[in-house]
Amino acid sequence: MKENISLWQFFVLTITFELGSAVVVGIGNDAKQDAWIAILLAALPGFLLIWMYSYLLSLLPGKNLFEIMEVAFGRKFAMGLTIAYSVYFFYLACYVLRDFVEMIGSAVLFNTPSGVVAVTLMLVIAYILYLGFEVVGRVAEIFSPYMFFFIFLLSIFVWISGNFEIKNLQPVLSEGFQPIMNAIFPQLLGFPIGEIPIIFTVLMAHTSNFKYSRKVGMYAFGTGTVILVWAAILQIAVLGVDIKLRSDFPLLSVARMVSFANFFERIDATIVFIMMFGIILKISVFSFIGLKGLEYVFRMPYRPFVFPMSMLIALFSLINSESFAEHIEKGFKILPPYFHMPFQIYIPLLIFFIVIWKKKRHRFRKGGNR
Amino acid sequence: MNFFKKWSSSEQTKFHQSQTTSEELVPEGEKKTGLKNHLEQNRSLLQQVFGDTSDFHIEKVYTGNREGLVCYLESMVKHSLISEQIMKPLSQSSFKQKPINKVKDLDDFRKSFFGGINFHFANYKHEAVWHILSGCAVIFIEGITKALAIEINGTESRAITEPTTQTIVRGPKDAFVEDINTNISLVRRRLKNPRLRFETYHIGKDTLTSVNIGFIEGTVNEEIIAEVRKRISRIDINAIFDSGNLEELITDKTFTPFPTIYSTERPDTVTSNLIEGKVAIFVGGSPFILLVPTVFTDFFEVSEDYYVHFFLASFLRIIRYMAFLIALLLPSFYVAIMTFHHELIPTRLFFSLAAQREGVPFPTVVEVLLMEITFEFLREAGARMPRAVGQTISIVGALVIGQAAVEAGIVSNAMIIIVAITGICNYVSPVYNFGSSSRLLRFLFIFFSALLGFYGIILIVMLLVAHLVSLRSFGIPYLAPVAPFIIEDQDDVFVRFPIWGARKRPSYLNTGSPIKSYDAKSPSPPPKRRTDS
Repeated sequence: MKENISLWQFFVLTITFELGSAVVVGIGNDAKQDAWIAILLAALPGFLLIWMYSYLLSLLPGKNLFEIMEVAFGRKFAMGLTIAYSVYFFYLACYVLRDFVEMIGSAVLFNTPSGVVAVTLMLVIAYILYLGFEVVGRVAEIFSPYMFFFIFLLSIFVWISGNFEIKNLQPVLSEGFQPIMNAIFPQLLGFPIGEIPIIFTVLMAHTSNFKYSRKVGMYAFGTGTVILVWAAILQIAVLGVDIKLRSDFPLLSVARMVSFANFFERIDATIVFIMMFGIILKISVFSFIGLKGLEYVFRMPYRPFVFPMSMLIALFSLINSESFAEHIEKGFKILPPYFHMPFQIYIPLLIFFIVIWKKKRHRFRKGGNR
Repeated sequence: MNFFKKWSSSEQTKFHQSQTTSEELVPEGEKKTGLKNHLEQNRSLLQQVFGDTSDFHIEKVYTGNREGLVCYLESMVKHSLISEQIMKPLSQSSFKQKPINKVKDLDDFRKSFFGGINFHFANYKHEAVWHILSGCAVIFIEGITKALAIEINGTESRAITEPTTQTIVRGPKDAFVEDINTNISLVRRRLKNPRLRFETYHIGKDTLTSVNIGFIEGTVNEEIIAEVRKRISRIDINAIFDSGNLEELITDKTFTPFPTIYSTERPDTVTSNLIEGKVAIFVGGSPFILLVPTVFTDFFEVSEDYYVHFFLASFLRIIRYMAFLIALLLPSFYVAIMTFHHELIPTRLFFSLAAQREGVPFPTVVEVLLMEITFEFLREAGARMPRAVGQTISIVGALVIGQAAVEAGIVSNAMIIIVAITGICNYVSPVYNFGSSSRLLRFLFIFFSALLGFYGIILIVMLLVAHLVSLRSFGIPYLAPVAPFIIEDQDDVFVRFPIWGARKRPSYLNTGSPIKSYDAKSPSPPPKRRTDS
């Protein structure tokens, strides 16, 4: 049985995914106060990639990235590549999980061992994945409104508290476009922008109505980017560039500034729990895609892999980096050029051109026979 | 007494006549036996079956020119009815009756003396036995291999009273009773629709409980009705005593705290749900009628919502959702805040709470569990106690969950408030067995909030939501108009639109006719056009 999600679920899942961890950790830091411009500009290649990948999927309807690789390279080579992709996606799940574990440890549960947090979270995710992708879609549908609502609420609260200093955004483009370009390539393009097109290569094959999924995906990506831009503006305007750069989780620092009516104070813990939905969904989606890869490799339904893989994710998220500083360093210096770029852009582009070439040749040959 | 195989009539759909006998009534491992020519042979056949039970009655009578036997179970018929409806016509018949010589004459005989009474003919032993068991008087006549069964249902049943578990302020006040025929008539009286259909099944090898499914042909989703038929005829059990038994046997998933079948004792609820396109299942001997398919939001709707102003109804619905969340989460929130997240509440509030707890010797979670479990004890005692000692429970209960417990230094004041609010909120759900889900899950939440604080609560919330969205009720997603989100069904979920505004049936039911009324309009006149010129 093929499990599908509706277009609306696809829409909210994409937004929640894009916000996931990107809204809490500071992104585009290289661009300083112009981070929001950097995010905005980085979205343009994102749209292009979405268009290309969805075109690739529409050439071979009903197939996801891994099955398309088989068309492009043949099963043997595709299998190796799929394993690499699966590992990549599981690694991303680990990475996001570590982000979250650190966030919990620094904001709410100070004494709880991070292993407990990682394992319990992965158990819940394993259950969700075991129930199927349909469930992931519906869970997104239920929780995403709260996420959006709380970001909105946070903005209002910050504004009421009188911490919103639009002057912090100035001077705009003080050093020209160079810092922005540095922020975009390859950092922002790899995370969070490039993650969207690459997950689409699998998710779009699971939407109930493929015809409109490109349009919906573009809208979702656009909406998510706008919210990210707004989050960046919020962080810079409230905290100022310096604090934003130094803060591990700028959005939590923003939430900490909220204080009014003698009642709304210290809402950062609340923000953590709301953002938790997004992170759970993000890890679920990454793990799901990784599991889909395993499904392709082993030619059996992914359910038996769910529990062992999620425990491995929990384990590797902890042993991957010694400290949070190392973790961030990996995320911003090593992952984007050496992992994000090849997996998110180079290889899919290669597949894209090979498939188009094969299709053309095929059509040519067909025409010759006629 | 293991006489009959499961007896169902799933293949009969059109104008189903209740109490139709079937081939499947033959006892297991036996061939069906035809009725005999001679009275004495028939008598011994029956006596073989019934043994010497004291309430089995065989009476010898004369009809016209022949001898006859009247057999019935005294416990199933009213004695005055026997003498009035059977014996009197029979004694008259001995004077006026044309001779009964052939099988065909038996029908003439019935027409002239038992007109207007429900009847059946029995050709086989098992049919005769079945009719006797279901409260008929069966008449055998010498030389005829067919028996005439006259229905005399004279058993006592409870009168229709006000509902005891689902009371409302405004609206009809009658409730279902144990007698299945009364229940069906309560629905039929409200729904004068020729397309309302009932199908009878008999379930339970020992009890042969009658189970009726009711639906409106053309409105109901054919797939759902087929699924209901399939699940009911698949049941293989020896006894059914209440619709609760049946619920467990036909539900989609057993390992869930949430009921996926709605049970009600209100005829108006059943009727309105039939109109929405659902299927009602009546179980003989149970005043609770099952409604399928059921979605999560159904448990927050009361029939009274449609009898009061829609502003109030919408407000009450939102209140019910809030109450459900409070009943589920409040104690665990308290534990999480007092144990882990002091900063989440205003400082002064926390100080006052902490000051109250100063004299309490237990950790918060122990305090909460202590009080919650005490409350559960009280509730269980309150539900089971004999009426006469009711006073005792309420007085003692007020002491245990009250000032005395605080003064004794066992719990804090805030704890009493928490337990009381939780207990009240638990009863807001209009369906009793739905409240039990939050009652059970609350302890899970308390446990995890004590371990991991709010993080643990959110984890369980995620788990619960994932579980809920994976549930189905007769193929319909359990959280239907919410996840998957269906915009056009939102007119009757969290808020109720005015009755003329909700014109469609729920689209997730995939009903045969999606629109209830085409041109329902607001009663207020349309805005006047200015005609001053």
